[in-house]
Amino acid sequence: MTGADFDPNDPLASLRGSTPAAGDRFVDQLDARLRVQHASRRRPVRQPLWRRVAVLAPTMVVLLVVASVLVVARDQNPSAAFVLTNAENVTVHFPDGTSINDPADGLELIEGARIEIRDGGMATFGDVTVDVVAVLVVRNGELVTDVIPTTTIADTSSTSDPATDDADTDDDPVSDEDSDDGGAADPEIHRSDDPDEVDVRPPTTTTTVGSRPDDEPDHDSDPDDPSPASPVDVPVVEIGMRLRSVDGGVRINWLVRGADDSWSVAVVRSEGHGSGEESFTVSELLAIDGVTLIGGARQANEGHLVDDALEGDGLVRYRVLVVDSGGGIVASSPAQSLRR
Amino acid sequence: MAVRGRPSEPDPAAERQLAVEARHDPDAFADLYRLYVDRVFSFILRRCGSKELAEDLTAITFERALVGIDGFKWRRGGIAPWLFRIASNQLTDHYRRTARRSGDRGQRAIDRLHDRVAVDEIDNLDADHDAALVRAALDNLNPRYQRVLALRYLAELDQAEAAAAMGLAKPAFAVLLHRATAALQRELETESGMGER
Repeated sequence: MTGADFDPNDPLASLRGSTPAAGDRFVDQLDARLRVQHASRRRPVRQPLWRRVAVLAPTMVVLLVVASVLVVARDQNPSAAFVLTNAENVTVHFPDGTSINDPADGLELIEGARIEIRDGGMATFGDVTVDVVAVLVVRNGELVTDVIPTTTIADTSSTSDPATDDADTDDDPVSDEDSDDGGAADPEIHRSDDPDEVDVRPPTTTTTVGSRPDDEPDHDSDPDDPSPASPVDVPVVEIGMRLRSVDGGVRINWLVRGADDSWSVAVVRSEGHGSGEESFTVSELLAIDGVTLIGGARQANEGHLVDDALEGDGLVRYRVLVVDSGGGIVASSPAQSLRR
Repeated sequence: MAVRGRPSEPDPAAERQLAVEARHDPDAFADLYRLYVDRVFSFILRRCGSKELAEDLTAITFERALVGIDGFKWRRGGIAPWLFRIASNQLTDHYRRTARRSGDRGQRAIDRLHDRVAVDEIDNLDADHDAALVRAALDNLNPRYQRVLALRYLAELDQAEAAAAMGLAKPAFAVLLHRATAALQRELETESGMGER
């Protein structure tokens, strides 16, 4: 087996070969053992109602008192801590400047604590498990992450977008527009007077990804994993993108925040109907008719490139992708359009 | 006594009823056991390559299932994702234990590869060089990647079942599977490069 023989659609085929079935003797012996264990499981003996009440009453009183104390304590301290467990590839930054890598189970996350979950990492907060790359913050007693989910399609030939009309129009966001140093100014919300320039930076919004553990609904019990993962499908990488018509092409500026150093940026152009929004990998995306890889940069940070291979006319859309080392699409900017 | 093996046409309603009855009826639990024992055994055997170990972990899987059957709640996908999740956890635990014992997971995988002849003599299961290489490469991946690949391709669960077994939404599962596949390919390239030297 070499890399060349590798079948990404069935990479473990060689392990499936001729797997023998479980031996009859083993199956029968285990069956018998399980029957014995089943029969010997302790069954609760149903007591008469009066007896159950009598037994449970003191416990209920104690529980009520404890619950009351907890409610009062929580009201007095609304930012009580989350407890972090199962931290892998995680760094916790506290407001006082201290940081802890892969903390041990039971670390309390106070207000303002910032939890950075890196590629391949995970962390559990009460009943909630986050196993995607994310930066979470305990804010106002809730666990939140900053995301940029807004999609804005801008078309130079269309009417202006009310969402961006109120933004500054004074200074050119690309101050070094004429230089070749690849600098791309922070693409803040901006619409230039230049009709050929489109500049969109979606506003940062906040999405709650977890609430206090005691507010979570009960999960199904699982003998092996009492805290089943609760996937959080939120973008965690911020991507700003700007298109600008230049002589003979389109200049695409990007700014990426929150990306891993090993990730890279790819810019794709879509023509026709295939948007490829559902693609998880660059190769899937490029398999769609009308989607072309324009180029990119080895590191996801900031930069620009010029697409000068435009032909024909009509609407053309661009997206900036953040791609991991395996070609998986980690994040994608909203598509922006230009009319040629 | 129920027929062993994969149900030709899974009947979710019947399986659900069986899961309810299995809480208090040893026969019902035995029926469930016999429906899935071969699939679980094959899954574990494919992953670990040792018949003895596969039998041990299969037994533990069903014992854990028996302990947990009272709390099992029916979800989409039925029993299979729940059962394979338990089996997968046993495998992960096993590899963690052995990794702790041998210190370094990568070194252990390489050692296993080099000691393959001895393993073959015991089990006659790793006759295929490719299988040994792939298994060694799989051992070198992080546990989550191992799990996602094993559930999808060794347990042969479909995407929805495997996602449920991992406790992930389907899109998140697809991304994880893609990354795991890419990581396995890189690992295989490294392994084969080492073998050629």
